[in-house]
Amino acid sequence: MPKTGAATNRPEGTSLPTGTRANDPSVCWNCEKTLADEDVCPSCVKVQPFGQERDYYSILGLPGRLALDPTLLVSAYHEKSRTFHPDHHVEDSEKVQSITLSNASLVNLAFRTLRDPFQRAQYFIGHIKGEPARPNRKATLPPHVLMEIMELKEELEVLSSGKSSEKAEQRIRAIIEPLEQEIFNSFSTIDSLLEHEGPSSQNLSQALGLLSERLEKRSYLQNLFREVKEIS
Amino acid sequence: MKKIVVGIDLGTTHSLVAYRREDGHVEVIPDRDGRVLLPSVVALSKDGVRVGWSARERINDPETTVIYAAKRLMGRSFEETENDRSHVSYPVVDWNGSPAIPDPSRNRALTPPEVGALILKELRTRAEEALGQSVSDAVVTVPAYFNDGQRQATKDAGTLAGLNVLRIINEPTAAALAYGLGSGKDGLFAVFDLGGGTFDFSLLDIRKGIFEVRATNGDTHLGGEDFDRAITEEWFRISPKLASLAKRPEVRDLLRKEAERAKIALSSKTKVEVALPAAGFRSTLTRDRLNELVAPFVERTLACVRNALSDSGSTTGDVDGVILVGGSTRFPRFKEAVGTFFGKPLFDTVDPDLVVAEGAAVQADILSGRRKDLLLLDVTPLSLGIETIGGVTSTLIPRNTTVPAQAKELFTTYVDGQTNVDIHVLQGEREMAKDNRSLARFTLAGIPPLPAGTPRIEVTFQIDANGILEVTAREQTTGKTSNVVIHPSYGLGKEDVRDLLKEAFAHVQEDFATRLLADARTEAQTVLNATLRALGRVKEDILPETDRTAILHQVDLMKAAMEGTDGRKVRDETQALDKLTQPLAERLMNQSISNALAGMALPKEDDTNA
Repeated sequence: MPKTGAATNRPEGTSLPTGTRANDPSVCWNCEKTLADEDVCPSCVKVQPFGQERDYYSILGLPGRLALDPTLLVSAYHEKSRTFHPDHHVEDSEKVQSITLSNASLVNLAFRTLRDPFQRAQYFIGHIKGEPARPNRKATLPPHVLMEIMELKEELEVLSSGKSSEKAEQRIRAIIEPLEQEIFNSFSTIDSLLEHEGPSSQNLSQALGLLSERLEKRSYLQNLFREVKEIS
Repeated sequence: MKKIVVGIDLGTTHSLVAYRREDGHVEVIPDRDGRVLLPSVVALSKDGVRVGWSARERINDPETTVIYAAKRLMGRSFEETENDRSHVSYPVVDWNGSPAIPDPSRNRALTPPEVGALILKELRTRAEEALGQSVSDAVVTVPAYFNDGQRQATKDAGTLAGLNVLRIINEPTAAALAYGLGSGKDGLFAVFDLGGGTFDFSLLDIRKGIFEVRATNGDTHLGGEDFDRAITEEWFRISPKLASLAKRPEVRDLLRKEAERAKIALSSKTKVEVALPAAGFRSTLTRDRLNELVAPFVERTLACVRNALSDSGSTTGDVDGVILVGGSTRFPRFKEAVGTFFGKPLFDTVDPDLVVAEGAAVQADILSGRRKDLLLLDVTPLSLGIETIGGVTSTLIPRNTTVPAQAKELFTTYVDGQTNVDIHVLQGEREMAKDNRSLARFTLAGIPPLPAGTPRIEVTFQIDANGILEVTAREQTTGKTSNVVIHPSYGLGKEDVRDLLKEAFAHVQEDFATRLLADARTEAQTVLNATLRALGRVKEDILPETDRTAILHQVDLMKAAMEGTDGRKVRDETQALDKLTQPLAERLMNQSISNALAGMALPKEDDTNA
């Protein structure tokens, strides 16, 4: 039995790590030279902590777009790892080590989030809206989508009542796969809306709303898929 | 003195330790007798525990449990090891679901990490003696296919041996490091590792100094020992009498050694004579015949290679080079087959027995801060989280997350007016906290009494590049903070971990100086006895009076040092005496050899005339 003192999950308000709080991110902590978001001070060659305003795209030095070239993403990640990985700073001062630990953790988190197209899309939505990153934030599904999922659930129960869950798995896959394709297809449309109409565009906002809904639906379906697999 | 990080190849049949010298050369550290390999063998008997060569000598002793190939059992459950257990001759019991080897003389059972620890401890001692300083940090290699549990169990073995395992790295990656790949040389490299009993094949992608294992494949029961067996079976076909004699273990052992000798000889010669006069057996083995005998094994390795290539969606054309690892790749037929299959340059200039240890030493060097052109990215092997209400695990850092990593999550209280929370840190993939491994518990007290669900308690997990976890809990309104630092481990039950940690601390605190002194005294006593014995035997014709006086003087100096507590001084005086008596030893040796020859040699005609 749990102790009365055990911690409880807060249903909302999961937060992600933010950059190390620098006293003033616009100057070098070591030589006080004025900086413009450089990773390494051009004057004294010391690594700089990421300012709190740095988002995952800017941490990796990538454009804030939904469609990302995976090769570009990996090479950006490698480049930042070479700069900040603690293994390359084992003999540096404690201050530098604490910066690299924090920066490298963020580089890894940024890469992990942006590498997965669905996590990236979720992050992108919050990023455009200027909200702090909250991957667990739930979109509200319209009633007709919820109905659709409820019906599917009943159908699956019948399908997976036999010995094998294969039929049920196939059924879900037949819905998830085209949905994922729809999500991917919307990436370039959204990128071009952002580029041509700006972040406050009505069309962009609509497209993001739809993307958010599809992501949420996919996550429901994935949970169903996992349940079906576990039963078998 | 500068801290040295060593690189260790903890192998199935042999283990080695290496480090990078100040001058930049990587050196594999030999034992006192100049042997660099340490058989991964532990012998348990009434008169003690032996490790390495002396343990291997006990292989046919019915009174001794000789443990070999324990790496195959590392970090796996008793059930998972069923097939491997059937391949070994020592007993393996189910010990809380984990395999363990009974040690009746000491009324205990040894788990695979404990066996690994004995081997690592031997290597650690070897390194400390050679370097004359304490060694506490190491990089240890594992096969690329090792899962999370197997990697953690290997780390545990290090902890038990008093070693801080900074990093676990893949054997193929180590081999590539030993060849200097990664600094300026990008590409896709194949690593063909054929050892005594295992075959591992990996495809390694190297881009601008960052290494990634793209695919692995292999056969955990294929290696040089199979060739030896194929040779002895050939002999049994030639001589049925030999086959019946081989029912006796000592004969079988002799035949195995003879087969191994013939196999090694055929790497440089085209045929070899085999004679076992006692068994009335004489035969000639040619390289061509041996090639026929090993053909099925060659085909099995190539099948693994094909699978790995197809898994990763690559062809031989994508591969830029093939690195040969493991003693069995010395065999010409394999080099030829691999060379023909890939049609690519072979990397075979580094000793295939040493290449993995040398690569581990390169990574050790990176971790000592001496080079920055290479970087190996590492992940957490198991998920980390805390227990929440209802005994449920809430994961903060999922497994396979690249380190360093940080995660923060907000939690709250469950009861009105609750003023403290228990933070129970867990490791594992299971839903329920009780099924996961408990790493630590701590309490955050002093939370202002508020209705349930209102306080905001931020829990932060920070893992550094060495996998060390720091968990911090912070109540956001008061800023009250509490934290704990954990070195995660795996492979043993909770109770054992506590005992083992206690034991591990004892190891860490074990005074290096005390050990050095004890070893130096033993060594000094041996040299002293030998010297006094020799002095008593020789006359002035061999040892001039002045030399004798000098030796006796040094004997006094050494005896005085032995009375003291400075191990290094004892060792220096012993070495001085050893040097002083060297010419005498040589003269004595010459004398005894000529005496022996005088009794045996049949003079030739020329000699009689001389």
